[in-house]
Amino acid sequence: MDSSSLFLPEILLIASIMAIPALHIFTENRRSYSICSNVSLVGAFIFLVLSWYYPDSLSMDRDVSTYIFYDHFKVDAFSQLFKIVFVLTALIVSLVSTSYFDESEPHQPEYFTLLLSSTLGMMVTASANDFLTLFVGIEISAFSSYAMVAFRKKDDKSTEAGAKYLLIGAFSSALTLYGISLIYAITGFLTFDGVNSFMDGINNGVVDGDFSEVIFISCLFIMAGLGFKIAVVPFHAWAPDVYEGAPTPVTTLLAAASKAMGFVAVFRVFVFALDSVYEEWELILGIIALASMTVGNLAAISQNDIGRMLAYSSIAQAGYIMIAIPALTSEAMSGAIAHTLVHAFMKGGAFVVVGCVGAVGLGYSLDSYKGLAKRSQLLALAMTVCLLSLVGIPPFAGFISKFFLFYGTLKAGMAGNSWLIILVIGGVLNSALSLYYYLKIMRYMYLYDPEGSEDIEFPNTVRYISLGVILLLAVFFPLYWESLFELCKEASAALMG
Amino acid sequence: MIEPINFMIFSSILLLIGAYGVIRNKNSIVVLMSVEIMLTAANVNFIAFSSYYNDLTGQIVALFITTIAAAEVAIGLAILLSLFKQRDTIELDLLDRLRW
Repeated sequence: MDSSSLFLPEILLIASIMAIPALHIFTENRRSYSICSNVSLVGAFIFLVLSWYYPDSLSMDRDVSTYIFYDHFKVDAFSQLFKIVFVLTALIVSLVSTSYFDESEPHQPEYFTLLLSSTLGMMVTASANDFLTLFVGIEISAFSSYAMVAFRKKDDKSTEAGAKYLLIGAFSSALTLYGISLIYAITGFLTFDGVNSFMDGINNGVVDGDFSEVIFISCLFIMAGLGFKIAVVPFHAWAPDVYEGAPTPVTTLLAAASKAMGFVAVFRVFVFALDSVYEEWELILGIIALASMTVGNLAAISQNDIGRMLAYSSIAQAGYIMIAIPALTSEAMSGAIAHTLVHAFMKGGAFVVVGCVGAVGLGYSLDSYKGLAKRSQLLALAMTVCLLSLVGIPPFAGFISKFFLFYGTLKAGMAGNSWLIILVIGGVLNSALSLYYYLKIMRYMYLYDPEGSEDIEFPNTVRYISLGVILLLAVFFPLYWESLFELCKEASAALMG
Repeated sequence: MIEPINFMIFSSILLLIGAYGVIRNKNSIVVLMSVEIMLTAANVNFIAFSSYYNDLTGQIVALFITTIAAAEVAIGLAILLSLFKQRDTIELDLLDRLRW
């Protein structure tokens, strides 16, 4: 088969993006939209998994990257791994949305269209091989999520969150673009390979001239824009507001998939394209990592809204992942990739429970979690597994990925860059700090009696998804941690070239 | 032939004007317009260095950015319109219902 068949998952999504508005002309039945989006996402997922396990039949080689569309689109182990995560998260969001929005909710075809186009943007970002494709992918996903955050037009909070997200997002994407234009100005290339070889040339003395200030400034600009996507301090101000205000399925997508997309872009730009000029950016990234885990955890302690608390915790998690980037070793990078993957599932699982509790009318404050275990043992258990995993308590998945992440970075710190050890110590101390607010939710769920009636019917879809998340985080990843780590190693080898 | 440093100075002045507008203005629409100025600053860089390197990539990028900017304004105005319908204002200072 031709190698352009590797674009098939994206084509499936594009077809479905066009099909859902067309379906709206013929039928008012809201189930048809969700079925259409689920079918295309499942199709894309199956195709991605098949292309992972049977690469030969698709003329793909997992050890070598395949290029399509005149080298602008790169298919390798790294991109396929993250595409699987994006599609899986979007599938969970799409399934949850059906039970979250009731029959009378207007504009549902638009919602599913935007969900799919947001996923499409993330998949394009994962495969981008030049700065333009990367930027366009990020923007496709960002524009769809602006509209999804402001999706409930009559809801005051949703609209305000959408306006804030839009204005801050537009500002930071303009900053990224200016950074990219500076890179183009000094190198004359936009492809990652071209920029990478030019930067190597500066180090080897092949290229004349001193570009260090310009490279420093452009790294600062690019980091400002991508830092907005992954929500690290000081570009995090939007995250609590948006996570609180947006409809919870949209928050799930933002916290799980959109953050992973930001990390994909950061990895591609800093770890691959600009890796030979790491002296210019390693200190900025280290400071950002340390600041964002400390600020995130300290601010999360005093929150009373569960969405805001999880938003601050996800700022802190972004800080943990960031410590691996200045280390620039393959071990630290595979730890970072593993933690990004696991983070998508644990945050996604936590927000699925939050959305479910909110949708049955219990509200979004911490008090509404009092006695959740008496109402539904399964949901409380799913929440507990996700939270313990976020802290990094063994034997849950979060412990394994965090262990790889810290161990890889520590090893790089021992080998030379001794300031990396400070980052690792900061990360470990912060993990201990974060236990306080996660345990508070668990205490509310198990040790208190529910306010109001005990028997509340939770939708079945959410039960199955939370069961799946429990199995994934508490059974599957801990038992098969070796194969998880193999996958991440392969992805980091593909990433670092 | 204009020296490339002049392009850089011009584009960074545009960027600063745009950033100043974003930070100082209270009106959301003016903020969106300032973001457009910042995108134009990047465009100036792309087009100038495209002609400097004799490489068409920069000009193609500029076309893409123009499209992206148009889409951004379309979505932005739609969201601001629904905000205006609810609150009769789009002043940024008044967006304070989501606070801790």
